[in-house]
Amino acid sequence: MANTTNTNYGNQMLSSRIGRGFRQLMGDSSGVMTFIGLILLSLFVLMAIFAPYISPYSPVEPSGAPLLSPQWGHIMGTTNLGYDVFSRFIWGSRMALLIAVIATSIAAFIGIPTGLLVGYAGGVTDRIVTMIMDSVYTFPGLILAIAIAAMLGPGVLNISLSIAVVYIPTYYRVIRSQVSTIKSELYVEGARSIGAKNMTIIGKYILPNVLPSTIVVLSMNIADAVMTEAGLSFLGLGIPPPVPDWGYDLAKGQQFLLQNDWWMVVFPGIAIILLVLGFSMFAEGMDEYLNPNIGEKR
Amino acid sequence: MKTYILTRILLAIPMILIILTIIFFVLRILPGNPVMALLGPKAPPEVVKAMEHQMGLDKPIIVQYGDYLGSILKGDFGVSAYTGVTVIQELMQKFPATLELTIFAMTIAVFIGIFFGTYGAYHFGRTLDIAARVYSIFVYSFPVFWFGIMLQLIFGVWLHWLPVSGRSSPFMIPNHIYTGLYVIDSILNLEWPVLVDTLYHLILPSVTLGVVISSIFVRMVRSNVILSLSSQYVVAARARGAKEKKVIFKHALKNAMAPILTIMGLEFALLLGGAVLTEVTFSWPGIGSYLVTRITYRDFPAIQGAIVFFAMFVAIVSILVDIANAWLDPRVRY
Amino acid sequence: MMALLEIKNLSIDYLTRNGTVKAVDDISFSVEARDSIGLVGESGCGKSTTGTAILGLLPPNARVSGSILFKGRDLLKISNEELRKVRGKDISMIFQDPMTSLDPIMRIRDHFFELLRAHYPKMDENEMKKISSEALKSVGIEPSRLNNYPFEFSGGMRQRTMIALAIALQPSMLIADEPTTSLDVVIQEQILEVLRDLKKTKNMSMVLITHDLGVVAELVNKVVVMYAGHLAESGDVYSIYEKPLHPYTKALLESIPNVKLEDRELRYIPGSLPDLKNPPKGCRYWPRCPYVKDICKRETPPTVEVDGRKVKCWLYGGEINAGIDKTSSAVS
Repeated sequence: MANTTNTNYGNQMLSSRIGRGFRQLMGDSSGVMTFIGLILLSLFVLMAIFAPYISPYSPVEPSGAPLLSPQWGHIMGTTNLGYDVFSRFIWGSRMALLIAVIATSIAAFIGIPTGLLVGYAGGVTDRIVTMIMDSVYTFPGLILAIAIAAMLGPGVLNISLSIAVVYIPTYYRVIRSQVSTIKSELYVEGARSIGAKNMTIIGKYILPNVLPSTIVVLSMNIADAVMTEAGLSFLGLGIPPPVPDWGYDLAKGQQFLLQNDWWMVVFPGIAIILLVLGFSMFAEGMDEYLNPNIGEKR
Repeated sequence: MKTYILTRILLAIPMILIILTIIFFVLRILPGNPVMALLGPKAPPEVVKAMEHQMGLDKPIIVQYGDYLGSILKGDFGVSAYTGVTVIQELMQKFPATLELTIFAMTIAVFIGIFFGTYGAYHFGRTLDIAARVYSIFVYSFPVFWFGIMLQLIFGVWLHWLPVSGRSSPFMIPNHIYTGLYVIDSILNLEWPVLVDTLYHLILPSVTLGVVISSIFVRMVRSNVILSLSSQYVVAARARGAKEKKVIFKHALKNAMAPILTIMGLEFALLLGGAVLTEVTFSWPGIGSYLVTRITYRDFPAIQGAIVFFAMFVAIVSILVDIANAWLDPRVRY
Repeated sequence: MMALLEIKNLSIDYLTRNGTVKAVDDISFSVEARDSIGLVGESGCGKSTTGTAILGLLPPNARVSGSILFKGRDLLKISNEELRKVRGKDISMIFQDPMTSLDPIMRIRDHFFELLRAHYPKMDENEMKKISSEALKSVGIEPSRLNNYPFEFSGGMRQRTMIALAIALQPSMLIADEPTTSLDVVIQEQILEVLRDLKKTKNMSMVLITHDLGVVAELVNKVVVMYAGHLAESGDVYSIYEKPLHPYTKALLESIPNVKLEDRELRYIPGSLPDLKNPPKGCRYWPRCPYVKDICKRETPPTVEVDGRKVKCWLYGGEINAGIDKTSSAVS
């Protein structure tokens, strides 16, 4: 029976799903999708870099009466402590991007070499490591991250680390499966037969071949990391207040929901959605550009 | 068939064991003293010592690990450091709430998925199809807790139609608890007001989780039904004069069901992650809320227990999915 | 007397992303009651498209014009529900690939029941069992195997099952789309035997779609040769074999592998089918035709009658006939 879900990048990735959906929807004009994704992304990156210059108020000091509804001067209203929601919206992109990028880098930094070496080595090591990675992969990622984040305590690096653990298997699986295919290709066999060292083979022949998909997985993975980070900080396991963070702001806003103070929950959510959409669209475009043959399967 | 199920169960054990081991050592290696967390920083050292001894924390870590494995095998999952009750007792008390939520959410997701997916596939490329695809893209990018809060805002705060938190109103719990699933218990007790109240409370959380998960189903059902609609047996069935409804539901959808079921199994892990967030969003007294609460108390046995329990839940569901697959597809069955 | 099936000026286009494919272009032929005709040509010439169009089973991107008269009713004009009632009861069809023609998760029995319920919703189960058993028996399969699943059948048995399904309701016409192509030689012979048997015992017309002129010869009395969506030649089977008129028919006959052939060389037609998105001007066969003339490259040849046969080739059509053809093709 045909299984259409087998993409190269593990079907659990949020961003590959969103992106692929977009690409199929857009058909020939998927360049537009990449472009929109790129614009969304650049917007958030610029927001993060220039936050001190563009945010109208400090995100961590009261700038008006508490719980003002959106109005002139506070276009997204103020929080229960009188913080400007718009300023926190802008500053929040810093935390989201920072943690997502660090988490993804850690996961890649561990997952890719492991996949390379284990995939190349094969044999019993391969079977054992793969079984461990698969177990982590099939376990609900967020729950694992919750447990680890809870133990590590708050802090940018700690949160990044607990998110990274969840995604190590993703990198491992992508790389390992590619390595075990490439390993048996003729030119690798050839290199080995003329006495090339293992490290040379990995570095010179295998790594360049797996690099494009690694880049795609990296860019796709960031969207997932953004979502997980939001989840963790919503549960109060993220960066301690008053550092601006969308997930935390949402949780705080929910406490004032019954008073109909909707602006505290609507805007941080939109920020998360836009960032996730931006990364997904961009990553899918990258995928199409770097691995043109994959798109043709569907 | 029996050997098949047995093999599947045996294959699930390493996964549970690995998750258990990882979480055990992560909890032990990482900083954060559970006794201090329980007693507070000003507790006298001898009290801390006694407490550590009582919880077995002064033993070598390998012995602790062995003890823990033993407690899992015994089926009590250790004793909660916070309440002193066996973890399994607490989990079993919370589990029905989680089960009820996930069952309803899954049902909603499957219904939306089959409806939009099948019609999208059938009207391939037309407005309804495009609508279904746009739906699945955007809904998928919603953080589940944000979507839940939005529903609370609209249906709870603005319209006052539905309760925004909890599993039931005060004094609206079924008289006799048979299964722990309030919907079933209230029906068994013939307590109709309780049933209505339970359903009222269930709507928002299960719609939240169901809708967010449904986006995957829409996609999967759609692409699988497109695949089976283009297969020869569908053309052959039409050539026999089979009615279009039969062609779609009996041939196309039923054949698409096997891969869809497999995906359901895989998505279940995702659903559980979402369930934890949904439970917290709606103060739903399930295992997710339990886990998050116990994290604040550094209740190691409880945290471990909840994680292992989730791992077992995932494993059991994937076994059930395989069995259902075998039942659907005669080629697997024989 | 009115023909059982009369196809007039049938044209079929497929709309694709990269343009319109003219799969079938203005073909006409008819099938009398108890007639068996062979629809012959290379793969991609539009013969399967024509066969599939009769039952209205083309994919949604197909655009059909002309008329398909079955017992005087135009199948292109009747409602979907009326057409559904024709399928399987008046006209049935079997397909090239028996491995995928049966629903893998349905028992053989349920395939029959589906057919019977579709046309006789009130039929009781015993009656249905009786009809299914008889149909299976007539193709040489034990009725006890009704409870089996398709995967328990071999390819040959599946194709015989398809035939049993097709004839269970005694239709007046059977369309067989390359019924033996994907089977191995021994099984092919089995299936042909079943079809031959049917021809003898049942009062049924047959449209046999095939690329294999050898298969056609023993089963049909009329042949329609198609090339790149055009009808090249049609007429009774003996005269076509005896003296092919169209250069394409000639080439096709020569390419039948023949062990008796002196030179033992495998003959083939040089060149390949034209791109149907952008067919050559004039006769579609001219790029491969050894007798090509200037006019072939400029104008589509008319369909003319020679010795009671129809042929679409400039070798036989004079300038006078050309004018007639133009008016007739203007209608489509």
